[in-house]
Amino acid sequence: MTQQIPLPSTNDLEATWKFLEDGIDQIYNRLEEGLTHARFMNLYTVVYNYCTSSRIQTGQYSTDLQNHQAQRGASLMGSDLYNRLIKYLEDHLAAIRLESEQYMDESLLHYYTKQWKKFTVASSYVHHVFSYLNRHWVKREIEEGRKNDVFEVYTLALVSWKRHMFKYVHHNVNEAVLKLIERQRNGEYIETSLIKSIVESFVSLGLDDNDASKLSLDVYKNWFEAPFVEATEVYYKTESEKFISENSIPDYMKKAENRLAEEEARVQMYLHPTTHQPLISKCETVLVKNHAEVIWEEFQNLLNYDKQEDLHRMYSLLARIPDGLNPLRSRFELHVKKAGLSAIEKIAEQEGETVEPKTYVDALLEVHRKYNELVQTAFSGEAGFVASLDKACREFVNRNKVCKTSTSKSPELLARFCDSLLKKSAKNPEENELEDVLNGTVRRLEMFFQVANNFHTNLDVRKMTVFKYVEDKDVFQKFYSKMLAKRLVNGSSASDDAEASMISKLKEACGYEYTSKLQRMFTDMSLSKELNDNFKERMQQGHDPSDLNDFNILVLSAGSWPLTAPTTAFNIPEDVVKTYDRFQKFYQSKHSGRKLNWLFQLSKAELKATCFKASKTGYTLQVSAYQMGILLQYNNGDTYTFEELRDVTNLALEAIIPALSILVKAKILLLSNGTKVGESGSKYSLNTDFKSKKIKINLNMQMKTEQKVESDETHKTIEEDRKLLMQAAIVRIMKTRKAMKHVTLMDEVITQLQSRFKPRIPDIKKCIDILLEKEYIERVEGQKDMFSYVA
Amino acid sequence: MRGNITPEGMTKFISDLELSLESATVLVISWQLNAASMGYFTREEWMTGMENLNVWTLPQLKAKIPEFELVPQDPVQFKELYRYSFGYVKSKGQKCLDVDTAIIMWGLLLGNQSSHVESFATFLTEKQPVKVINRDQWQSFLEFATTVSDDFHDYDEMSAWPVLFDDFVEWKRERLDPMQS
Repeated sequence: MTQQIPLPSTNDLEATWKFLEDGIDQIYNRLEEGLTHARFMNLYTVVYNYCTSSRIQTGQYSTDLQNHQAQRGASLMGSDLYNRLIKYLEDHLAAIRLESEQYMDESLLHYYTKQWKKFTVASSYVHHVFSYLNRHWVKREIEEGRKNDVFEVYTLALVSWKRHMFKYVHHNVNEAVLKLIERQRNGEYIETSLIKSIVESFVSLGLDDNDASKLSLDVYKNWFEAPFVEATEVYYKTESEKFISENSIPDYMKKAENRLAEEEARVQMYLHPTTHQPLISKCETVLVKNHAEVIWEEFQNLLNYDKQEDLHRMYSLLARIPDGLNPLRSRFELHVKKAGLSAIEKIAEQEGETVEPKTYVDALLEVHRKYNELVQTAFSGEAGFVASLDKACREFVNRNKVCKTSTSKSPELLARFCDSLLKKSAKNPEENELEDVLNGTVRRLEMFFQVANNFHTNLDVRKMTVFKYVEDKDVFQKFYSKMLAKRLVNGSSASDDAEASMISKLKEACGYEYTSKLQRMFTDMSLSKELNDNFKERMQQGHDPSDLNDFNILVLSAGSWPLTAPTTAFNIPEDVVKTYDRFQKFYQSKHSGRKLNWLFQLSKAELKATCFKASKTGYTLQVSAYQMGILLQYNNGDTYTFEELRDVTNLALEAIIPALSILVKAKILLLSNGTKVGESGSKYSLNTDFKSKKIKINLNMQMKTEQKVESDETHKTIEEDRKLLMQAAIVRIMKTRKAMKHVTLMDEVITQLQSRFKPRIPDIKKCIDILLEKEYIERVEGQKDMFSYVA
Repeated sequence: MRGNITPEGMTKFISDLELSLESATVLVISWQLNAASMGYFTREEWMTGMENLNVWTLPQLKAKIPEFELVPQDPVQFKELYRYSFGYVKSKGQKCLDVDTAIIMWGLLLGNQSSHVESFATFLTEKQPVKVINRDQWQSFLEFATTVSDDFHDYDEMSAWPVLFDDFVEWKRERLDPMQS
């Protein structure tokens, strides 16, 4: 197609433009015919020649510009060519626009994208044809401040498209796009590449008004995105309202979840990435927020039927909108609380007054386990739900049917539960079974401490609600140490390892101070073992071995053990008094100045009895020290009156009656001359006809009533301890702060004590009253609610 | 004890002044003399007190009575008088005031000033929450009686009131509105 056409003379505008127009026209309209390199070079050269011709043009220039140029003394040609090009583009685009009017909807989109592609490709060629103009005249004009109406040629082409094409057709084009998207939403297959091209065209037309070289998204945002998001809102509003009225909420949630996923995919597929935010947030509003109320309503149902999948879906949907989860969190808290309370209520109904600690604790842990799992799976372990769970647990652990009004019942039962796990079981399990039991123990304890730990960490987070939910850890400690003492003294602990692991867990949960006394108890145990060995050695050196009773003693420091001196006097039977004296002497020689208090109420003995006819080898009676005191009398006689026994043992009534009762009940002694043990004049004679299948008979048992008294006493000492702790805390705080507001003082006391127990406000106030009276603190004259420390 | 005025002398002194034993004015005079215990004036209290009052004869003292009668109307002076009376009335060697004595004194000092006096007295005698009133409770009651409104709507449990007052308010609120409890 090459044709040698003579180039127009350099300064002839008409000829030059004629030549150029011919070429440009081919580029825009008949590019498929091809454009040779030579032709392209010719076009370029013509532009170059014209722009470099020094002749000053007249006529086409405005006077201003003429003066301007004259002033600069330079001659840059180009404005005529530039203006002719503007005119050409205007005419060219007018023709395209005219043709577009015969198309509608999808065909319009096809036409638009086809023309757009053709136009942009051609424009980039033309841009190169006018390179010289771009580099010099345009550059200069822009530098001179005509940024707003002089552009590089490619940009000029886009501006022209926007002005002469886009301006007239964008409305229809956009409508067609929206229709297409709607059809896709309705499930039809559409040509997505069409939309992608339109979007690209809209984005390309985003020319910054102030600086044409910069791209702005204004065109896309205003002419496409805004109407698109609006159409989306209308579409989903209608759809969701219809769907929700005809289907269940779980189905709706599935629908909403799918729709949200579809829209996210849509952005990926053919929209500009910045549309993600406005589109998705609009969808969240229409699909989730606008229906939040009914979705919330459904939550309880899903909880009741344990629909984990739906719960998770609900969680993910509502997590998308602000405050969407709050109602769920509070409902969840209430639900867990109710579940916990009703689980305990069931137990209370089944078991009545005396609740088995294991049943109780297992029920608590089961509720916690179940809902903890739900939080982890359905609610992705979200912090708000964790907090709700903790709050609910704290509530039903401390205040439930079994606890009634006292928050200290739970810790007591927990401590008893631990005791039952750590004590040697009566069943005496096989070796491998024992292992299982212990593993179970540790696992339960771990769960319990996990609960405790949760309580702990939350204290920091929610200072304000702190004193409502704290565990009475001091009660647990009291009961635990009591029962630990008993296990150690009676040698009934199942495993040293389990004991140690329990202590270390307690330490982890509540701190060193909490367990220091417990740990000292273990120290005393091992010291006692050494002491016994030493004593035995000493005795073997100085005495006839036959003289030596089988004797074992625990020496325990009074401060660390929750043990009290006996409330009754006791005459030590002659048979053991020698050993008693020897040990006293031995101990004084080792530690002079230390005083030994003998806790006979905890002592026990084994008696070998050969007086019964039924057994030739005799029975071994396991008895308490007091029972031993009674029974040893029968070495000297067969029958004694109550008064005689009381006088010889010197025991108080509340000690001798239970001891005797068991002996009578076991038929070792026979009661006569009275109907009740302890009646005056009643007589007790040795029952030589006593029979038993066992050779070893345990008579050292605690009565039920004794246990109850013990529990009440422990609770009482806890109250006393608390009063002292609160007073000590107040004095400590006031001593450092000197003067303090009432409310701040309360808060401070609560903060200081919360790891042990939750002080009640009236109790703190009572302590303040006491300290005012004792003049540790006083009211500050003239300042309301202010206390000061009295030095 | 030589030179001291004992209860008999006191009775005569009061009748000479034409006052009643139960009048607040007698308390004001004791307070002016800074007498340590009820029914007694020591020689020193008498001499110093009268000198401070610039009173040398009975008529002079009588002439002062209208002035004494005004004391309860001055809040600052009244507060001092109120605080003084705790130590004045209580038995020597004891730290607290018997509830009965306290009730009489409240009637004398605050009887016509506050509606709380009567109901507090009822509370103390009916419920018998305490046997004695300690100094803090005594001192706090003045503020309670003069600042807390009749229906207790402005009573703040979170304030530093003694626990006894919390209990009283709770008791009283139950009576005012039994439906709420």
